[in-house]
Amino acid sequence: MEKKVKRNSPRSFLPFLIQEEKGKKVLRFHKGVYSQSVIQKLADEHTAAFRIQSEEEYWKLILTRSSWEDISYWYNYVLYLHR
Amino acid sequence: MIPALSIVETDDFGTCAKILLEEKVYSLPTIYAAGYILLDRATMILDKEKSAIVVYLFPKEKADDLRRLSRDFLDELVNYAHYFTRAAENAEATKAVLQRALFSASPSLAKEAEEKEIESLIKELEAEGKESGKKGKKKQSP
Repeated sequence: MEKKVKRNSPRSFLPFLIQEEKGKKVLRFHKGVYSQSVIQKLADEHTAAFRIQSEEEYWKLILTRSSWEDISYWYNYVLYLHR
Repeated sequence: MIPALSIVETDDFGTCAKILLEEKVYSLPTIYAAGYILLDRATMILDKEKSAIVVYLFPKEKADDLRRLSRDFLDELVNYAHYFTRAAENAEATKAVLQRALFSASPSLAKEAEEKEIESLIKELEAEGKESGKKGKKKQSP
């Protein structure tokens, strides 16, 4: 059963979309915006960089590295794959 | 009413622009295309709130004005929305022009396509004939 994750508040999007769990950065990609095939492609290409988990509404990426440059890179790369 | 564009301060990642777009107005491919154009100037995070697509724009260069960046993104949205609409409207004409160009380069292709078209027309007519035959029988029965 996939877990439903709730936001803290509508404005606190960063603590929600970009969170830290057990010392690792976690990024969320909404399933209604980012397609499964792209997320799958990303996972296949970069198996060492992160793990992917499926939540009810989001794809959850657990990163092995955690700088803002990395986060920025992954969000833009996923968008790039949608072109 | 939620404003379509707002500037949001964040603790960890600086200031960003939050743009709310109605899915009924702008399709996802249009949003991707507009975002793709600005990948070198901004980090883009997409999210969804009810029926709206939320776009968060973080400028890569501190000197890049957020409002200007947002306006450029909105301009690209209209540009691509127009492009995709025109592409869909002109799809049949584009296909016909391409086919003509290909056929003129290879006449055997034209003959092949003609034969296929005739075959499909015959099949359609046969199917219609069967359909009308069934209806005729139904009308005759009491």
